[in-house]
Amino acid sequence: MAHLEGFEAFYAASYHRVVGQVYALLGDLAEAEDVTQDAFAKASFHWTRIAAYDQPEAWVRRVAFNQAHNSIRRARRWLVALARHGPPAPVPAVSADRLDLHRAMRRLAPRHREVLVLHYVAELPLDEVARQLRLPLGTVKSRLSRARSALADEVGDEREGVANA
Amino acid sequence: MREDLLKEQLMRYARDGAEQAFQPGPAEIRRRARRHYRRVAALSVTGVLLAAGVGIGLGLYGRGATPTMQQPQPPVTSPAPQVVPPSTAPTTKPHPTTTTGAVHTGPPSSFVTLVGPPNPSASQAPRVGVVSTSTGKVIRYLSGPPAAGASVARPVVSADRRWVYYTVSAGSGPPQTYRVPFAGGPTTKVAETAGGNLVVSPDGSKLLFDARVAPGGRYGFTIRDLARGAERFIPFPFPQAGDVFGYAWSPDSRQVALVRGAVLDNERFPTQLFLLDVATGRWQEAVTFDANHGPAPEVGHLNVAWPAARRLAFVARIAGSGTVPGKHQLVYVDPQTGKLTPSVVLASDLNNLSRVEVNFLDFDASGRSLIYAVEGIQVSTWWLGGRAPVRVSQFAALSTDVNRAYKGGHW
Repeated sequence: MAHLEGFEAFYAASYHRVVGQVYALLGDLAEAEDVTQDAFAKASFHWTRIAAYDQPEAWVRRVAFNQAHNSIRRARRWLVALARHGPPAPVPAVSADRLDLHRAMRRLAPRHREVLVLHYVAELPLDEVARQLRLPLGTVKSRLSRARSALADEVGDEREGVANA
Repeated sequence: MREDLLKEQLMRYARDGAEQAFQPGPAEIRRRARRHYRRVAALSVTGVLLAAGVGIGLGLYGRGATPTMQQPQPPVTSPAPQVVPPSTAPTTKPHPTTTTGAVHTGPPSSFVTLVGPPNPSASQAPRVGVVSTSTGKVIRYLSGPPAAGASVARPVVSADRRWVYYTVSAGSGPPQTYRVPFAGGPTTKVAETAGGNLVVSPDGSKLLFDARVAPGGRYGFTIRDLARGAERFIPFPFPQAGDVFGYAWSPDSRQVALVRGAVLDNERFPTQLFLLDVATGRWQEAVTFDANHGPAPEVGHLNVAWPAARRLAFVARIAGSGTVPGKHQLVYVDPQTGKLTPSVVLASDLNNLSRVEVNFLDFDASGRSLIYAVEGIQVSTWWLGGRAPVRVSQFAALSTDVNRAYKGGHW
């Protein structure tokens, strides 16, 4: 197990951080756990190589986010099929901010959630977000702007003119 | 909701998830890894057998997912383009033309886009492909990135259809500009730098791209003379406080239009259209889009096209209300007078699902045919053109990956 030297410490230190970010992207804890554990499993398999990276956690997050996007697409297709056969079950009325945010985030496009999570939760500067997503910086900025605007629309918070520049 | 408040709420949201998440021991993660790679190995063997047996390549990536380029779309993902009634959208008038080319009665023959696996990685990045508009299939792949691990983006086609330009990123270095013959052939480097936007002038003589550095503290873009290799830095006519959403060359290649708007919360500026006289380097503020002016280019849009001298095109999002979804409308603006002419609706938002985006816009050389891409749950490409009534058809559904760029170019 010499090739796994350092993996356990890395896993212990970064698992909760990554799973929190994936949860913010997916809005489903069980799915977030599954996706994150898969990503760490892949990291353990390639640990010799990944340990040499400047930011192994960024690699794990990227793998987890890719997997999360697949998961969202599957869920969306299921939702579309469900919509064809009638409205979904009514959602209990909630007023707590967190539940509002949870629902609002789940209604955002995945590409919007992704930039919000990377910039605000993972605290990456915009140029690093652009590098990790392989997108031009301008695209990341515009996507962030649209994400904030869409989030503001979803939570119905217009009192402070959120992001409607 | 201020930026710091938004950040705090999102961090708390993620922290809640993290605190409730179960963390299995490292041994379980290693078992999971072994299971995963046994599965991949089994799929690999199956793929090889299938390929050998029936001559079908099986793409293995991640959990064995294949590229979704030809994946059929569920109906709800298809935007519903609709022609705005003539009373509100004067689209029945033929668009002014800059050439006397034939009117298209069907989709153009091909376009260039990035095609690739849904999860691009260092080893499986998207490549530039020429796609048939009639079948939606890749006719041919153009040369890939020059080095393993590099990724390509932003393909554009020169006016004479001889070249396809694109940016190449490798590692942490700045992206570079390459080109490859449209008909296929070796890739050659054109410039040591490249930005997010890459626009070839209609006469094919100049290439415009974002400047990544700010000489003298000014931000702007670079215009490269493709014949001589000389580059010229053009600073923006404003401090870098807002952001730039798109460039378009005028049909005569003498001017560049620039749409600038505000991206971040603390940078509140109206969306503006500036025009650059390329010969003199002089800027002119042509239009300021405010609440009284009418529909404005959607903040965050990267799409501006200039199909005819007096018609510059952009996409505006018209907000919905209640159960009426928002729509994405093509709008023309006369760069000389600022007069707006709303045109057809290119896509509508999806009820109960997230918004769609029109994230690519390009006209053919006649200014009569339009190719555009809509990104919803999946990405689809649409063509709009022909004689009245306007005909809209969906001709390609491509991968759902977000790192994607389209260019219909000049077919």
